[in-house]
Amino acid sequence: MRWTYIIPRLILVTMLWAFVAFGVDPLLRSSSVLALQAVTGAKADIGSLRTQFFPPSVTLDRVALASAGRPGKNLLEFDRLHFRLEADSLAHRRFVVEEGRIDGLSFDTRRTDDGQLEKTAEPVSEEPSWMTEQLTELGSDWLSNLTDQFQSQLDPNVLETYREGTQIYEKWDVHFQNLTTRAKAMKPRVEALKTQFENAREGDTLQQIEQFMQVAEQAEAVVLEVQQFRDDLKSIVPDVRQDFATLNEARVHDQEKVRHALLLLKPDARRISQALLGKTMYLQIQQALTWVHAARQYQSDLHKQVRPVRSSGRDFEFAAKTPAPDFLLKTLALSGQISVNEEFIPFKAMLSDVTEDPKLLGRPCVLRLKADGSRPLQLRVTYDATGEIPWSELLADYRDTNAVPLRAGKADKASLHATLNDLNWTSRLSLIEDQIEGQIDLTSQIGNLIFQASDDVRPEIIDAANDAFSAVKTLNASVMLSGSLLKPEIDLQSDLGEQVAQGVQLAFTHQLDRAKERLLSEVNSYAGDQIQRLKGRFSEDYQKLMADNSDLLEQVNQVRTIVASLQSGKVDPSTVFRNVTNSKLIKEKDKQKISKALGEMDGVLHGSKLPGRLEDHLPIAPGNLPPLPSGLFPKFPARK
Amino acid sequence: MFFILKPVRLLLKAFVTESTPRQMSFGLALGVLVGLVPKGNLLAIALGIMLAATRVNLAIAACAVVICTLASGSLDPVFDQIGGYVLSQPALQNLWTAIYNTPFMLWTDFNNSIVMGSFLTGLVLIWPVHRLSRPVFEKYSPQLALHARRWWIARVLLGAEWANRISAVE
Repeated sequence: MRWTYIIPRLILVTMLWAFVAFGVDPLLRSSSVLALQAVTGAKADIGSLRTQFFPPSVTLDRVALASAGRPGKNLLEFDRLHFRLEADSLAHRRFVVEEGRIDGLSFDTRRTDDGQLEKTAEPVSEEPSWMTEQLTELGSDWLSNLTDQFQSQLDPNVLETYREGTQIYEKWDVHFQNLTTRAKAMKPRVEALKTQFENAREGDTLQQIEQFMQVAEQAEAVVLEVQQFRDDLKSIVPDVRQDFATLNEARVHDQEKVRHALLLLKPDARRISQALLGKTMYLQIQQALTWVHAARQYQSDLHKQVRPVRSSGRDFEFAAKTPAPDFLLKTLALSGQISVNEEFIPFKAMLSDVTEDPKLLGRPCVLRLKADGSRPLQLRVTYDATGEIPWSELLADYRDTNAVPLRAGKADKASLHATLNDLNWTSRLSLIEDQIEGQIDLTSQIGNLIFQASDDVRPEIIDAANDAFSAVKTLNASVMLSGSLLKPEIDLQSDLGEQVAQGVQLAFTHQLDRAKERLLSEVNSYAGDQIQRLKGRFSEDYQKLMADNSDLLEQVNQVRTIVASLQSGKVDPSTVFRNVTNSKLIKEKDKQKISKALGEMDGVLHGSKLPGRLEDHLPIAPGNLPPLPSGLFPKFPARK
Repeated sequence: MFFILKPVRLLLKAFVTESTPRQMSFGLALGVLVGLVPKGNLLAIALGIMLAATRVNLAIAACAVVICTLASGSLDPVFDQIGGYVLSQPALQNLWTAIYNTPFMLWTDFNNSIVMGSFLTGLVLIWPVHRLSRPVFEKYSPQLALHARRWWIARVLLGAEWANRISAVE
């Protein structure tokens, strides 16, 4: 045989062998990366890919699939994937994985790069729309609303006592200011009257009489006015009494209102359940639905991918001797770590009977997962598309021995805090086409259920709530699911909400008297303060006005008396002087001078010594003067 | 330099040694067949091996494969018609079923209308291409060899002895 024939063939065979030996694996790795990137929309890393023909098997090392929606995160990664293909099926162009194994599988891990392809993917919402709606409806405001409502009921500004008291006080404030102004306006008139009275004593007798007459007229007018003022002052007393009665009535109304508000204080059990458990439960539902959805989606994608993309042409199918699916994953063992409540726990799982043609296979696809540790999880997902209508079922038992904190409400206003211990979740969901139905049950021990509120919430409310919550020890909650997969209808029911609601009522019953007493006492005290304030103001101003009025009246009356005596014609100088002196119309100093002059005059007239050295100046003969006949001058009584 | 050139020289020799007009025309015919059949299936690989196994001019065959591969895309509708017709013939159903159930035969994509159509077309074209191209090679190969001998690259790679031999091709 000629070398010229052998050499090129040997070269071709060598090239073919070299391609198979060194080129197939990199080529498959490259095409796998492209295929995975096309599916995930983000970077796919495959450390190495090794194929083996006898027996046919594929091994992938260090695989990481980046998340398109979350830069820097992996959807999943695993250390090694190994699967062995069935040779006979492979000869018939069927991919039957007899045995597969994925080790070191973990989800949601971090990457050193962002993992995004050049085309930026749309960010994936963490929460589906139905969940956002449900969480919005959660009513985390219920606690704040409750306290707000209670506070608003007891706000002094809404108390009738406060409103009425303020109105009455303002009314009387204005009224007393008017009276004071009137009293002040009278004073100058009385002063003017006094001045006129002083001036009237000057001049001759006729002029004095005329002036006294004028003073008398004015004094009469002033007296009338002062008396009118006094009448007006006296007339406000019944009005004030009426206002006091109104205020007292308002106090009674407020007391009734407080009693009523306390009786109406009953929280909504459903909203409490939702606020406390809603998010936890809905996240659990979301996770469960995501598993179901992912299983279905994977099945659908698998069906599409198994069919090779043909640029053109038609494939003619002929009867196979042993019909079988084009792709069948008999068993795939998985091990790694799964994130449960943000904690990675080791798990082992077995996936079986994954195929693109379940009807032909006649067996459902089943995933069994078991995770141990402090959060043991047992999961079984079944996807059965062997019949006309595919259905999925998810059964999950999850236990969390770690304490799970719960919080509801707003920290800056009012909030409930609790710790769930020894959580047990049981889920059963079934999905027929897009219709979902199922139930998720939760049982747990509740510890440290505490109500906290800002300083503006009354301490007895906080005490009452905490009294109630201390009795809540267990939690049973269930969520009934119905509707479609993308928009499920969720009915959350829990005895926790009812327990809390009943507890609050019970606690308020116990604390009601105390709270009522305190509240009523506050209302009473407030009303009393208002009344006392009003009384004080009334009494002070009234007494002052009355005193001023009395002084004015006395002065004017004296003027009137003197003038009246002058008008009567019985002018007795000593009486006039005495009246004037005793009246408050002249000053004390002047009074003393007048008294002294009157005394000396009495002495002279009754034969006593002349004042001063007057005798020395008079031309009187020696010896005693004869006494004056009696009765010529009236005898003044001796001055005291 | 010798150690580098020797393998390349041997390779080129191998490609051009089967250089009779008959070998050339068969190389062209088989190259057309391989070129027309879509790649990525066992049939194309098998045909390629068969081509390599025969004593035809591989250089001509390789050129034909490349050219026909590029041109076959536009002929797909024709191949589809032909293949579809053949595959759907009731009389042949048993044959196809038997082939379908034969191990590895599905990897040939024989049940694809374009693969079947292009394969049949290539088979049918072997004899006409061979017959028609042979006179052409007989006429033009000496002139082609003469030109090749003058190429400095051919002299360097093949050496004077083989260059002369090329030019001496009848």
